[in-house]
Amino acid sequence: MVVSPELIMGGLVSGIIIGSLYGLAALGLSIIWGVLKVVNLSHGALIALSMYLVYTLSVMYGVPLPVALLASILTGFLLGIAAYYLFVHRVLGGPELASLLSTFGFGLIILGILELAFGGIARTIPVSQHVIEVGHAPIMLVQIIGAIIAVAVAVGAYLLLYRTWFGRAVRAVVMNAEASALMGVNVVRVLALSFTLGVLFAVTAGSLLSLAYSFTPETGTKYELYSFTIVVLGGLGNPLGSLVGGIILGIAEQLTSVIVSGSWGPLVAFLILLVMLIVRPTGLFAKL
Amino acid sequence: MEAKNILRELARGRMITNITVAAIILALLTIGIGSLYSETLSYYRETLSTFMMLFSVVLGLNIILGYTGYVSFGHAVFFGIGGYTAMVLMYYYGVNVYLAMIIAALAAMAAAQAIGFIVLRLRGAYFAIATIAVLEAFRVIVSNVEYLGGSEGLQLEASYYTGYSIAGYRGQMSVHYIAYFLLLGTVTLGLLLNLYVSRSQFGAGLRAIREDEDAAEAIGINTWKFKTLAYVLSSITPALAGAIIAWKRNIVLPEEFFSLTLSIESIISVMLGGAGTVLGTVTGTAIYHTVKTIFLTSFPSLHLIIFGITIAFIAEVLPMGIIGWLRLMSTRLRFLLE
Amino acid sequence: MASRAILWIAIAVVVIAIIGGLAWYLSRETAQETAQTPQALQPTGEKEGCVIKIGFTTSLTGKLQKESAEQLNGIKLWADEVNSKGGIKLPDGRKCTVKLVYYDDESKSARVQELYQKLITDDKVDYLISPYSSGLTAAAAAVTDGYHKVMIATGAASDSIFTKGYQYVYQLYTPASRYMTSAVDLLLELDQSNKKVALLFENSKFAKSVASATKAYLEEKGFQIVYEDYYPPGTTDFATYIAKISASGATALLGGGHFQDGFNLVKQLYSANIKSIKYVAILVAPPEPAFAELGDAAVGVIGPSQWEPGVKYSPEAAKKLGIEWYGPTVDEFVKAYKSKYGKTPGYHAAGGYAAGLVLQYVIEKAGLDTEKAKEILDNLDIMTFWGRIKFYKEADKHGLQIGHSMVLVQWQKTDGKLTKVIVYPEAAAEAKAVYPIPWSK
Repeated sequence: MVVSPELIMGGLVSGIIIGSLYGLAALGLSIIWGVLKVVNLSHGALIALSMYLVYTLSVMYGVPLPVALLASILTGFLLGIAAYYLFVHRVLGGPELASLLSTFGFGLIILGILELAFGGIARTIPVSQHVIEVGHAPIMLVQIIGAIIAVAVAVGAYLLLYRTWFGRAVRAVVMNAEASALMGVNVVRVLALSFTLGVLFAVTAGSLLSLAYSFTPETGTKYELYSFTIVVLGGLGNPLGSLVGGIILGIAEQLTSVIVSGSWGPLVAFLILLVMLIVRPTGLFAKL
Repeated sequence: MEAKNILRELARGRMITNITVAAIILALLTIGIGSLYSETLSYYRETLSTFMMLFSVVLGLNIILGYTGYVSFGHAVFFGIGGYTAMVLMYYYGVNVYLAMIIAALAAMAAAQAIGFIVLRLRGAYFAIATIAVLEAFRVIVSNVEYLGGSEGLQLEASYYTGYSIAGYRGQMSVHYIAYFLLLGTVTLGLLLNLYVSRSQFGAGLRAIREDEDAAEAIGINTWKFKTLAYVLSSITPALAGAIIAWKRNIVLPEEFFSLTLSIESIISVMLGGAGTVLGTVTGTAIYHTVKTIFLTSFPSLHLIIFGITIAFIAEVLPMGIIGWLRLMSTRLRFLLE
Repeated sequence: MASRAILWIAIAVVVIAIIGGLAWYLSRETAQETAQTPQALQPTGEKEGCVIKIGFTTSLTGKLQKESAEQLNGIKLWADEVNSKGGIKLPDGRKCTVKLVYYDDESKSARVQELYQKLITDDKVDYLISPYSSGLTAAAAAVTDGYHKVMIATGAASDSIFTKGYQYVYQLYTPASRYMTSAVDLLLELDQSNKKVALLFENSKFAKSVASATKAYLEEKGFQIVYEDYYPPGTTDFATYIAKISASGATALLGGGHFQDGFNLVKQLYSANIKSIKYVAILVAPPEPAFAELGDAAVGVIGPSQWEPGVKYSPEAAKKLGIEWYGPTVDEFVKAYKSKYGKTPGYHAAGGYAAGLVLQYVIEKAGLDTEKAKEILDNLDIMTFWGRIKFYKEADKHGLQIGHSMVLVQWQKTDGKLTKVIVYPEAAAEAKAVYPIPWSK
C-alpha cells in the first residue's frame, strides 16, 4: 500500500497528541529520578492504580467524573507521602539496587491489590466518543483535552521548579544537599515533597489516560517502559524536556506504524533509548 | 587478627565452600540418578530442574551484578539468546542438543561482547535501564522475525527426539532425565566460574571496580577489559540453561524466553543470598524458590502483595543479603563465608 | 577448634547426602514394582468402591486465572454429577467414582511440566485433562505423551500441538485454523460483492496462527486482502491502524487478539465512523458479556465462539447426521451449571465439562485400558451438548478436532436492549445477522 502524505499527516498529529500523554506519564518518573536519583519502578503500577481509582468512584459509585478525577489525584498525593517514608526514605543514598528493588516491591503490592480487587479483565470508563479526523486518523476529543492538560501540567511543573521558593529549594538539594541543609533547607521534607510531586504527576497521567482507553492492572507497564526513554531523551527532572521527549517518541512510534508496521513500534522506543544513552546520556535538554 | 590467622581462616573458608559446593552437586547428582530408577523421585527431578534453570541465570548474574556491581536488569536476554540459537539449530538443521548448547553459549558470549560494547559505558541506574531496553528490543525483534517463528515461536516435532536415550528411557521419555543432567552440568560450570572469580586476581579486579571504578582505573586496572570479560562470562550459564530448556520444553516463545520476570527473579535471588558471594547464590535461589512455591500454593490471591512486601523488606533492611549479613556479624565469619 | 567442628559437620553432610542417595537408589526395586503392576495394588472387582483418578493442572494464579477458573468449574460440575449417580460403570461391571487430582500451574509452562510429571508418576492418575491455553497444553503434552497417557485437551485451540506426532492427545476445541473461517463463510452468504478485506490481528501466538489460516482461506475464496498488519500485545491506541484501514478502501475487517485490544479497537473504529466498512469480525472479545459495555459500538460486531448457551445441538440433530448422542442436553447442562454456580456458563466452562464427558464415554467403553481408550477415541464420532466430536486419526495431525465447529455471535439491539445472539451456522442461529453494520449507514 502506498503511504500517502495524508496518512503521514495523520500519523504526525496523532503522534503529537499521544506523545503529549506519554510525556505527561513520564513527568512523574522524571522528577523523582532527577531529584532523588531513584528510578521509581512502581511508576507503572501507580498509573494503573489511578485508573482504577477513577473507575471505582465514577463507574461503581456514580461520583461525577471531574470529582472522581480530583479525588483520584488527591489520593495520589497522600499515597505519595506515605510511600516516600515507607519505601524510599531508607534506601536513599544507598546502592541503586536497593532503591530499584524497594520501589519495585511497592509496585508489586499495588498490582497485587488491583488484581485481587478487580481481576485481570479490562475496564472502561464511558465518556464521549467524539472524534476529530486528521488524515483518516481518528483522534478522540478526550485525547486532545488530555494533551492540552499535559502541556498545562508540564508548564506548571516548570514554573513550580524555576519560579517558586519550593523550586529553588529543590534545585539547591539536587546541586548539593549538604550545603542546602546548612542554608536552612529541610532536605528530607524537600525530598519527600519531590517524590510526592512525582507520584502526583503519575496519577494525573493515569487518571486522564483512563478516560481514553480501557485498561487492566498491567496497562501501566507500557507507560513505565516508554517513560524510561522519554526521561533520558528529555533530561532528568526537566518537565518541558519530558513533554518534548514524549512527543518525539509519540511521533516516532506512530510514523513507524504508518510507514512500516505497528508491531515494530515498541522497538523504536528501545532503540531511541539505547542510542541516546550512548550518544548523549544527559538528554537533549538540560537536566534539572 | 594477625595476617597468619587471616590466611588460615581464609583457607578454611575456601575449604568449607568447596565442600558445600561439592555436597550440593553430589546431592543433585544422586537425586538425578535415583530418579532414573525410582518414580517417586521424578517429581523432585522436575522441581529441581526448575530450580536449576533459575540457578543457572543467578550464577551468571552474580558475576556481573555481585562481583562487578553492575545491575543487569535484563539478564534473561542471554537465556533467550541461548534458547533461540539452540532452537534454530535443532529446528532447521537437526543439530543434537549437546552441540546446540555449545554453539548457543558461544553465540551468547559473542552477543555479550557486542551488547557490552554498548551498555558497559553506562553506570548505575543508566546501565540497569539500558539492559531492560536491550531485553525488550530483543523480544520485539524476535516476535517480528518469521525465521525465528515470530510471535508463534518455533516448536520441535516429536520425531526429533527419537535418537535420545538414557538408562533404558528412549525418545520423549528420556528428555526430562537428560535435561536434568545437562542442567546439573550447567550449574556445576556456573559454580566453578563463580569460585574462580571469587578467588582469582581477576575477581579482585572486579571487586575493585565495584567499590570505586575510577579508583580502580587509577591504580592501573584495565576496567573496560575487566568488566567486558565479566559480562561475557556472565552470559554463559544463562545461555546454556536457555538452550536446555528450549530443548526440554520443545518450544520457544518470545515472551517466555526474553522475560523481564525471569530477570527480576534472578536479581532477587542474588540479593537475598548476598551479592558477590558464592554461598549466597545457592542460599538465595533455594530460599526464593521454596518461599515462592509456598506463597503460590498457600496464598494464591495474596502472593503478589506478600511478594512485594518481601522484596521491599529485603531492599530496605537486608540489602547485603543473608550471607552478606552473616559476614558483617563478625570478622571471623567474614573470612569463613566466601 | 570450632572450625574443625565445621569441617566435620560439612563432611557429615556429604556422607548423609551419599547415604540418602543410596537409600533412594536401593528403594528403586519396590518403586519399580508398583510402577509396573499398578493392577496388583488395585483390587479388581472384588471390592465395592473403586476410584478413577483424573489429573490436570489449572491456573489458580497468573494471567490465565479467569478462563481457567471457569474451565475448572465445568470439570467439577461433571465430576459431581457422575459421583452423585454412583460413578461410571466400567466394561467389567464395576462402578467407579471419579476423583479429581489437580494443582495450580501458575499459568507457567515450567510448572505444568513439573506437575504433569507428578500426576503421572506420583499420583498415578488414570486419565488426564489438559491445562487451559495452547501454550500450557503444548508443554504438558511433551511430558504426558511419552508415558502413553490419554489427555483430553480443552481450552487449547492451537493446531501446531497436533502436528508434532503425539499419539495420546485429543483436542476438543475447534482449532485456530478454522477459528475465523466461518466468519468468512457468513460474509460470503451475506454479500457476494464485499471482497476487500483488511486483516488486523494481535502479534501473539494464538492470534497470529488464526490470522495466517484466515488469510489463506480468504485467498482461496477469491477475496482481495487490501490491508494486513499485526499490532504488538498491549496496544491501546489504534488511530494510525484505523487511518490506514480507512485509506485502504477495505469493506470488511477481520482481527483482534485478546479481550482488551479487541475492545479498544472496536471502540475506536466506531468513533472513527468509517462508512466503507460493512462487516467486522473480532476474535475473543465479542462473546464476553463485558463487551456490552461498548454500548452502540458493539452493535453489529461479529465474533466466533466455541460454544454458547443458545446452541441448538440435540439428539434429533445427531440422528439426522446418523451419529450417536451422548450426555446431557444443552438445556440440562446450562440449568445444572446455573444452579451450582449461579451464573450462565461460557464456553470455557462448557469445554471443561465436555472434557469430562468424553472421558466418561471412553471409560464406559474401555475401562482403564489406555490402548483400548486410544482406539475408541480414534474412531469416535458423537454429538454432545458441546457439539460434534471427532478426531483426526492419521499420524500427521493425530488428535486434531475435525467434528466440532465454531458458532458466530453478533451483538444486536432489540427494543433498545443489547443482546448477544447466535447468527451462524443457520442450524444453530437464533436470529438473522444484521448487515451491513449499522454505523456504515
